[in-house]
Amino acid sequence: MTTTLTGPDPVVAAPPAERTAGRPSAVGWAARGTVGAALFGLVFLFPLTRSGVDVNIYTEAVIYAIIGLSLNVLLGYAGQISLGHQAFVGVGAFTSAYMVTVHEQNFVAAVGIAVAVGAAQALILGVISLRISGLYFALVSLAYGAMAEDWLFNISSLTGGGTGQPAPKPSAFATDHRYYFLCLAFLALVLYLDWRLTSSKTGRALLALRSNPRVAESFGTSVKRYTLLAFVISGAFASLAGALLAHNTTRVVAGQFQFQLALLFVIMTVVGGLRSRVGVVVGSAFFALTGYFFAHLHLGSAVGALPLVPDLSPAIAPLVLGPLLLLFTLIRHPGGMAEFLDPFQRWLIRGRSARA
Amino acid sequence: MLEVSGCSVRFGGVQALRDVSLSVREGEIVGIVGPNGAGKTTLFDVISGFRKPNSGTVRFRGRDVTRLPAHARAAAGIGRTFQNLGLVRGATVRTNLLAAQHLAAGYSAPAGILGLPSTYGAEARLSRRADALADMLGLSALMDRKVDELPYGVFKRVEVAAALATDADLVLLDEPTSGMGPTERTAFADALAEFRRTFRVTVAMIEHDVPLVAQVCDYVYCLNFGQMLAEGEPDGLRSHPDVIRAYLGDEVPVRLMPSSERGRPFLEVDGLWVSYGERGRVPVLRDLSFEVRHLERLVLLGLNGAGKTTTVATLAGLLRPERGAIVFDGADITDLPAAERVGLGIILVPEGRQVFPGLSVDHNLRLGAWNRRRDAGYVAEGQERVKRVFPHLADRGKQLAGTLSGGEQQMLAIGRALMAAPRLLLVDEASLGLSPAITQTVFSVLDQINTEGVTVVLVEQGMAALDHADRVMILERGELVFEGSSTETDHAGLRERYLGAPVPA
Repeated sequence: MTTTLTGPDPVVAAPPAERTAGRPSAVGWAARGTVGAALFGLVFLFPLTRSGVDVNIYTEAVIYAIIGLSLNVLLGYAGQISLGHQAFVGVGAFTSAYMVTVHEQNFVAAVGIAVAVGAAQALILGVISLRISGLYFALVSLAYGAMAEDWLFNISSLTGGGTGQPAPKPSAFATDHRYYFLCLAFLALVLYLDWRLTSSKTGRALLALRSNPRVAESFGTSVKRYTLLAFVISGAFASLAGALLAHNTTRVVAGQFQFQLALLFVIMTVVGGLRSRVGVVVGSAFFALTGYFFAHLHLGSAVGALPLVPDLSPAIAPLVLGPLLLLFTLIRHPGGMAEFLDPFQRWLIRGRSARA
Repeated sequence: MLEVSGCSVRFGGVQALRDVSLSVREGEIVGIVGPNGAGKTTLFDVISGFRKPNSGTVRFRGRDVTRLPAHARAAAGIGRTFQNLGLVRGATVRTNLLAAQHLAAGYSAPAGILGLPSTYGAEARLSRRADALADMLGLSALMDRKVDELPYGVFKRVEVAAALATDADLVLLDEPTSGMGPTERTAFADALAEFRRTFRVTVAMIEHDVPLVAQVCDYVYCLNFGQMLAEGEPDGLRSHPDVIRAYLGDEVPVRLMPSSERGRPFLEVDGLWVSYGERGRVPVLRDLSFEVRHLERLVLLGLNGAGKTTTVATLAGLLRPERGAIVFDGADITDLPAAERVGLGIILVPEGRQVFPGLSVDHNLRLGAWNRRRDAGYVAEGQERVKRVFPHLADRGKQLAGTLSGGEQQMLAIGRALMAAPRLLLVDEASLGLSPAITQTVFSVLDQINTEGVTVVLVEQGMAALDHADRVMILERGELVFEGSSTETDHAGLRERYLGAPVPA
C-alpha cells in the first residue's frame, strides 16, 4: 500500500488492464453461432411447436420481463423501493380493458391511454417519495398496492367489479402465438428505450443521484425532477406490461394483482440482477415460468416425496423458491444472475459491454 | 462576479455564519481559510445552494440567486467540489465526466430516452469533450477506471475535472489538496493557474494549507466562529494578528510543571498506519510511534487533516490500523474491540461532543456508565461526582442534552466519559467552537481530573491547551514532526508551522 502512495502515480504508469483478447478462432465463431442459433430457436421457433395454452404462459414470461425492466428503473437506477408495483401493472391492465370494452377503443389507443394513466399514477407516488423516503416510502407503496387491490380495482363502473373486465386480444393478433410475437416486439421496444436511457444523460443523472444527491445537484441535475422522471418511466413500462397482460388473459379481475405479486416482482428483479438488462429479463422470465416448470417436470411432488414436506403446488412454487434465491443472491452473488449472464453476453456479442 | 452580502446561517443552537460578506471578481483565485469549524464549508453550501441562509443575499453575475436550488445554480454557472470525495462512486472516470456535462448535453431527457437520432451525435460530442478534458488533466489513461480504484490525489484531480466539465464560470473547490502529498500539492498549485488560463474560470477555494493559499490566491478571506475575521492580500493576511489568533489562540504564558510520578510508559504506540477508504486509498497516519506516560497530560497539536482525530479514534478502537501495535499498561490491545477498551479504562470524548441530543443530561450520564449499569450505587455516585466537577450541569439533570449550549454539551461529554471510570482519557478538540473563557474552564476541570489519577490526552488545534500540558506533540500529515515539553513549544514556532514563515515587511 505504501508504494502506491509514494510512487509517481503507478496507476498512470501502468497500462490499463484492457481485455486484450484476440479475434476469436474459427471454433470460437462456430460456438457463438451455435449458441446464438439455439437462443434464437428457443425464443422464436420453439413456441411455434407448442400449444396455445403453453404459449400463453410464455407470453406471460415476456410480459414479466417488461415488468422487471420497469421495476429496475425504479429500484436499480433511481434506488427507490416500490412494494406496490402490482398496482402499477394493474392500473395498466384495467385501463386498457376498460378502454377496449366500455369505450370500444382499438388496441393501440387503449394501450397508449393505459401507458399515460400508468405514468400519471406513478408520478403521484413519485411526489410522495420526495417527501418521505426509505422504509416509510416502502410502507406507503405497500399500502398503495393494498388500496388498489381492495378498492380501486373493485370500482364496478371501471373494472367490472368481481367478475372483472373483458379484454379481448386485437383482431390482428388474436391467436396466442401471434400475440406472443406482439409482446416480444413490445419487449424489444422497452429494451431499446432502456438502453437509450442508460446511455443518455438521464441514465447518468439517475446514477449520480443514487450515488450522491449532492454531487448530482452540483452537476446541475435536479434530483427532484429526475426522481419523478424515473417514476414516470417505471409507471409507463409497468402499465404497458399490465395492458399486455390483460389482453393475454382476455379478462382482468382484481384478484390477479395481489400483494404477493409485488414481492415476486422485487425478488425476480433483484435475483435477475439490478441494472443489468439481460439479468432482469432472464430473472423475470425465470420466475414467471417457475410454476410451469414445476407443473411439467412434476417438481412439486418431488418436493413432496421428502419426509414431512407437503407437495409444493406450482402456484406457490415461485414464492417458496423466490425468498430462498433472494437470500442466496444477496449473500453470495449480489449482482444476481447477471453476474453469470453478463460475461456470457460479452462473449456472445464480443466488444460491446453489457452495462452502459 | 459573486457577491455574498450579510449572510447568516444558524442550525439548531449553533450560529454557523454571522453576517458574512464576500466578493469574488471575474478571473480571480480567492482563498478562504480559517480553523476547523469556522463555517467555511457552510459558506460554500450557501453559495452553491445547498443551504439557504437565514438572512443575507447571494448575487451571481448581478442576479439574485439566494432562493435558487443547487441544480439551478449549477445551471447559472456555479460549480463545486466537495470536501468528502464528491464523485459518482462505483462509476468510471468517463461516466463521471459525462455525468458532469449534464447541462451541456443539449437535448431533453425524453429525447435521450426515445433515442432520437440527434442525441447520438450529442453523445459523441460529449464523449469527445470528456476525452479532451481528461487529456488536459492527464487522466486519459484512466478513463475506464472506476473512480474508487484511484489513488487519492488522482481522485481529487478527477473531481476538479468534473467541476470544470460542468462548464462552470465559478468553481468552488472545497479542500482540493487534502490528502495530497507535498509533490502532488505543488503540481496542483501549478495546474490551478493553468486552469484559470485555459478554461477562463474563476476559482474560490477552501484550503488549510495557508502557504499554498498564499502562493496561488489573489485575495484571501479568513473566517472564524462563522464571522469574517479578516480579508486581504495573502501575504498581509498571514501576519494579521486576528488570523494568527484564530489559528493559534491567545498567547498564553506557559508555566513549567513539575513532573512527579509521571514517567512510567502507560500507552505505547508503535509504527501505526491508518488509512481511510477502500484499499487504504486515503493515508492518514504514516508510521506513527509515540508513548503516553502514566498520569501525564499530553497535548496533540496539528492542523485539520493532520491525523489527530484518527490517532485518538484508533487508540479508542474505533478505527483499525493496517499495521502497527498499541500496548496499554503492558497489554497488547491492537486487536481489542472498542467496547472492551472501555472496560480497560480508555475513554474517548469525541470531537463535536456527540452527546445524545434527545436524551436528558442524567440519561446521557447514565449511558456513560453502561458497563456498570446494574450497580445503582456506582451510577448515582458517579452522577453526583460529575455534577460536583461541573456545577453547570447540577440543576440541568432533566434538560435535554440537545438544548444545552456548546460549552455545557462539552462538559456533559466529559462528564459522560468520567462515568466510565477512565484511566486514560482522550479528549478530541474540547475547545472547538467555545469561547476562550469556557475553554479555560473546561481545561481546568481536566487538570483536576488529572490530579485524581487519570492520564489525559488532549487533541487541539490552537495553543489554548498548552498551559494544561506536560508534553506536546505536533502532527503534520499523519507524521510526528515535533515532540517536547510544553515550554519548548513557542508561539512563533507553531505559527510558522501553520501559516508559513513570516513575510518580511
